Amino acid sequence: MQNTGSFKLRGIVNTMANLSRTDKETSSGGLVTMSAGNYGRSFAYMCSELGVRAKVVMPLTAPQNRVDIIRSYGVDVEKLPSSEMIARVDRCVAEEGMEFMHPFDDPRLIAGHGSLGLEILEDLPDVDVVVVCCGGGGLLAGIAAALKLSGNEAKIFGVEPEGACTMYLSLKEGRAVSKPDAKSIAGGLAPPFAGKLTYSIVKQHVEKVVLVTDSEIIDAVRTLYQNGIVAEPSGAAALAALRCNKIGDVAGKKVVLTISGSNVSPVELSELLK
Amino acid sequence: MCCSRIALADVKAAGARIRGHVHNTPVMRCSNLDSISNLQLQFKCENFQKTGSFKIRGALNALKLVCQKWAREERRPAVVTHSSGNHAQALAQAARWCGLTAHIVMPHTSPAVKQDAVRAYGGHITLCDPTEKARKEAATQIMQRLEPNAVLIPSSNHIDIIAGQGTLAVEFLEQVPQLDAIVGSIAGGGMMAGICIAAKALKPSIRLIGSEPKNADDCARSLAAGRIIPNASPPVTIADSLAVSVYDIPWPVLKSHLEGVVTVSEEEMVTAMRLVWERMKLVIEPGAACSVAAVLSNQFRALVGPEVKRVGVVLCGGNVDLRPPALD
Repeated sequence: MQNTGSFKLRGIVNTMANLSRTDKETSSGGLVTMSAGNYGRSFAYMCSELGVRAKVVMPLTAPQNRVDIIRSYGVDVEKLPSSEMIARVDRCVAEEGMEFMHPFDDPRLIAGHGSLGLEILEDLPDVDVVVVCCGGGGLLAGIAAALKLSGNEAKIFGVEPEGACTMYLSLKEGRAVSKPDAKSIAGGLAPPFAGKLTYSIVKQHVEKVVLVTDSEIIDAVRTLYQNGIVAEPSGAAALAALRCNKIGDVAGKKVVLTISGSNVSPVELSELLK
Repeated sequence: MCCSRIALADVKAAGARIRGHVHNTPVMRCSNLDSISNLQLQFKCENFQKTGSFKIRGALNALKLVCQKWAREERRPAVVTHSSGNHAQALAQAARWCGLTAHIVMPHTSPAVKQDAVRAYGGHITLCDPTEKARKEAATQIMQRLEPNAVLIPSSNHIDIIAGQGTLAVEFLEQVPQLDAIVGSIAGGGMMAGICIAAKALKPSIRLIGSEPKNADDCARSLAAGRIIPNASPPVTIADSLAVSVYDIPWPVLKSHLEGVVTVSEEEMVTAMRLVWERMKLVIEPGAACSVAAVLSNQFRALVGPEVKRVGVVLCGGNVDLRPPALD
């Protein structure tokens, strides 16, 4: 129910308030980012609010309605194969003078997302367990840092799709890794690499990253729908993990689940839940 | 039975009876819908209520009173009803909580999600044709079979049901004391009657407006005529929960308290459902979309005039199959 339909705006507002080039007029190139959808959408919204020139580089798999929404904010969209996206962004920075905004591995972004953790503490200071959907790890890192650095002792779990388990693999290998074939119905949870910064924060503060299947995610979407809430697959992963007993013993405990996004149309949802 | 027998005290007693079993549902805002309507809208989210609609309030209140009445008997009664769906689910669940058996007559056109839910709550279903007459006849047959150990609990036409539904207005005014008006959908009239009794007693200046589909506008026509004029034939509307006509117990309350009834088209309800889905991320059924459509309409603005700003809208339920034909 967040403005722009996902938590992404939290981090983006904080990042844009702290841009290295403080005078927007001299930032002739504008801002560029890469995103499958929700980050791009919130990014486009803020760029439009601030009157900043911007471009979003999107994978070929991005749904047309996401592209249309971003363009409707007056932001440029380029669709490319995933393997070419980073190179394109590099050229925007080097040749067009654009400033790159990383969709998750940016301390200002992570701090902004951490506001969600602070809100949890306001509502439920004696929370026992927090379960957070994990894509690049920005939200997970932000919430974990907010809680732990506030001195809270709640256990924090991240949830990734089995087919896009970059953070899970990173924790196993002791460094941020990439998984070029990362794939899931939960597109927002499937960037092909874990962030270096997000990995280091997750390693320090998160209990465990658990995995769920795409069909477990879809069941969770259905459950939320039946309880009156529209959630996109990426947003339902935390519930999926809890329902499928991946989180361990939570009987009688105070558990907070993030429903991180709801950007899914009625038609998309019908297809999913067929 | 006259509706002047229900007072705020009955509603408050109902509140005490059902507290802890039903949710005090949240009230939500939406800046998008505020700018479309040029109003300050407050949405009471009964789509989040136990069993997915407000009906559990009345059902549980009624059954707790049944248990009280039968406490000294050795046998427990079965409870019987006929319902398009939401009351059926609510009664089945309330019966399970109270240790009673529920026999539910449902029209075969009830959405699958509602029929499945009734079964899951332990209710015994008998399907019938989608007419008032068929529903009543089937329920009567079951009553005859189970008498004397059976109690009929209708979906709206019962003072304990109406008192239970009124608890939602008590909460609403506690949550948003500055409401200028409350808008709610009308089928049998139980919900709005309960809201009228409670809200007027708590805030006499409050304005109360009903909403109905144009295709099921018996209350609007009845108010205009000053007497009950039921829908002539089973209404054809996506708002399956609003098909029945106003009953005789709620009627006098609605007649004396409602300022008017706004009627909306099928398209307006679909638009409202889509807006609530897309902007508020809430799943609501067409019966609830009816109230949203009403406050977005010119009819509403013309009815209440410019002084009304803070409008409470009851999102009465969220029990909808994923593929209602309209959203395709």
